Amino acid sequence: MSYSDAGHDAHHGDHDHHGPAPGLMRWVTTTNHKDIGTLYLWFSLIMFFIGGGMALIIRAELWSPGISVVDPMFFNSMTTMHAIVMIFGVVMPAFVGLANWMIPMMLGAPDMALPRLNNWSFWIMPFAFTIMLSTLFMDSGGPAGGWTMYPPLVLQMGDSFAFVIFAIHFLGISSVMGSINIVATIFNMRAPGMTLMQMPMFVWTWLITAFLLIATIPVFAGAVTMLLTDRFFETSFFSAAGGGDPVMYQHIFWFFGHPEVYILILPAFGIISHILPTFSRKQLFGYDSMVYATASIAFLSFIVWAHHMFTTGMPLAGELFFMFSTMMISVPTGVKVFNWVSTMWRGSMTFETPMLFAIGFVIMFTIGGLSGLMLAITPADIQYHDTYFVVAHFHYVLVPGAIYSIMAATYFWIPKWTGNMYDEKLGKLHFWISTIFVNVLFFPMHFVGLAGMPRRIPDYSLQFADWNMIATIGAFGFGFSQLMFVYIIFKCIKGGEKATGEVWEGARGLEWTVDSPAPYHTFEESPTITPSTITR
Amino acid sequence: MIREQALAPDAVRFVVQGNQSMSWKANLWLAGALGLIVMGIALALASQGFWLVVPFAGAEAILVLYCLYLTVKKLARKEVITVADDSVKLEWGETQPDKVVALPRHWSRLRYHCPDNEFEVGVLEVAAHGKRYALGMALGREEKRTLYNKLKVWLP
Repeated sequence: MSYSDAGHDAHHGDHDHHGPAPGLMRWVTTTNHKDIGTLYLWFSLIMFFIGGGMALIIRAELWSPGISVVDPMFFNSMTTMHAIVMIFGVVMPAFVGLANWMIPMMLGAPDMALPRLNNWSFWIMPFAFTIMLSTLFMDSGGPAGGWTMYPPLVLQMGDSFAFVIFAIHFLGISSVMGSINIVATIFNMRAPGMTLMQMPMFVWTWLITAFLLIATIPVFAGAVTMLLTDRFFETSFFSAAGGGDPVMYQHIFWFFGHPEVYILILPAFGIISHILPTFSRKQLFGYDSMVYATASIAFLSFIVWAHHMFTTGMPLAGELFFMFSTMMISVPTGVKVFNWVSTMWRGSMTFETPMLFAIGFVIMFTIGGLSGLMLAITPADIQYHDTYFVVAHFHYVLVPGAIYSIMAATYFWIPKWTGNMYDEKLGKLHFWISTIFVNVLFFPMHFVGLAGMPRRIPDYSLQFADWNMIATIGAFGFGFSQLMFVYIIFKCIKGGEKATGEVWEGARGLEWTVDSPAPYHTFEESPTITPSTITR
Repeated sequence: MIREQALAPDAVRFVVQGNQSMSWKANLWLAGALGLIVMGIALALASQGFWLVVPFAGAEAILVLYCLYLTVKKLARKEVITVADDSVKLEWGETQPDKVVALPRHWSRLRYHCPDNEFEVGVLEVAAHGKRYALGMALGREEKRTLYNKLKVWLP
């Protein structure tokens, strides 16, 4: 008896139904959301070590005063490239990878809405980063004016500038395509019965992140294109000599750049909102308020950009507006921290590795948030601006914040991805070593910053030497402890205790209803939504 | 989603469509809202002389609309089962059928099997002359059972 799969065709026309294609081409041509998620995560991990290597070069130079390890120009290239790699090559791809893996499974969808677009979104990235990193080997050197690329300094860069802008455009295209795919998937492919206010928090935070990306990427693309035309086509958008305004570039850049900060942290909020309830064996406290707080943060992120520019000079009314609007962000952020703490309150808590990283996130992200509040105060910011205090602030938000959430997510979901449990003892060791060294690395930066040490300078005054030495010890300790993370991942992929479908005792959500490892194709037919499969 | 249309006393049509959690109209509103925000920002910057944001914003707005259109189009794929006096006609397509199969009604047999597991949706097939065709592939467990119960009235 022959069998017609016309009905199958009616539902899924985009990929193979019987498992992955063999060989390397599987990874090049794949349209499967799990494969693409895996590609993003590996890419992010590789870039993490490239960006981390750059950080170690920076810290090695700052081990002692004086120019001791690298040429100052190369040092500037390292600070610039480290930021670009970590933001666009590590944190964003990791979150997109997690979104690819988890969002369809959390929604009960068979795949992303546009699988081919998804493939393109990924493969543009290695191409763009190859171009970006290749500028380090060009005669004129890599970008060295900071990741913000302020004119007129950036316009003094050599011909490799065009390659940098080209790479940024491709990264932007990749981000926009990924975001549109996520929006299309979330709105159109939720399982029957799953309303918007029943969606898991990770899905909500990613939806809002995708909106932020869609709204801001064209602004960034336009800004860097205007830099390009100023550099090569003799326009004067940002050239004072030709009637342009270099400060306007800063306004336009930060109109993109500040929402970008939230693009780097909102998905982390979603991840933490899954892990804390699971290991507290309670439902997330205040689901609705979490959703509204996320949306509020996203909205406010559009009206605070000039707090990055208090020292450029602006009218007092402008300074007051941006100061108060920035402070307002602490309200929804406080709601989130309160809800996370309340979720744990009187919960039946256990402290597996994902939970440790999640608690570490809550505590250390709050430290970064509080120093952010200090920076929001205009007169204080004029003192702190461009010092190591700012470096301490954003690293507390991004390393024990965003990076910790990615590590927490990896430990949380890796049994679902591989079908094996990771080594719990090593995982906990990884957490404690990382947490000790990350604080040794970044906490002293508050002190040297408040004492006046400027950022992005390879040399410094003698009085900052001790704390810089300690920070460098922290950097190398934190950097090398991440090799343990790679070892744990490989060990888990190779084998280990078999994971059940549910994996964690307190886990709720559709992703936990499928086997571990998750089959190549999940939810080819819509699942049934029951109270136990809803995370709220 | 199953829609039933009575064609005659001895003929019926079932239109089966996969889950689509948002209507085309709502997708249009979404694309419009995103376009408005993106173009609003771009035009505000253009008014200050930074017009190069506009082409990027415009291209993105068009891409958003096109991607939502593609998504809705894909999810709009239908399965139409027409049971007439002496035939069963199966059609698959979006606005027009791109595959049509006609079976003799009195030789057609319905098969349905659903394991006792909440997450299994079961298998529903119609078979005739040595060929089997899966029905309701886009449906969930309860909807597939409903389709089976409805078809059972018309087919043995």
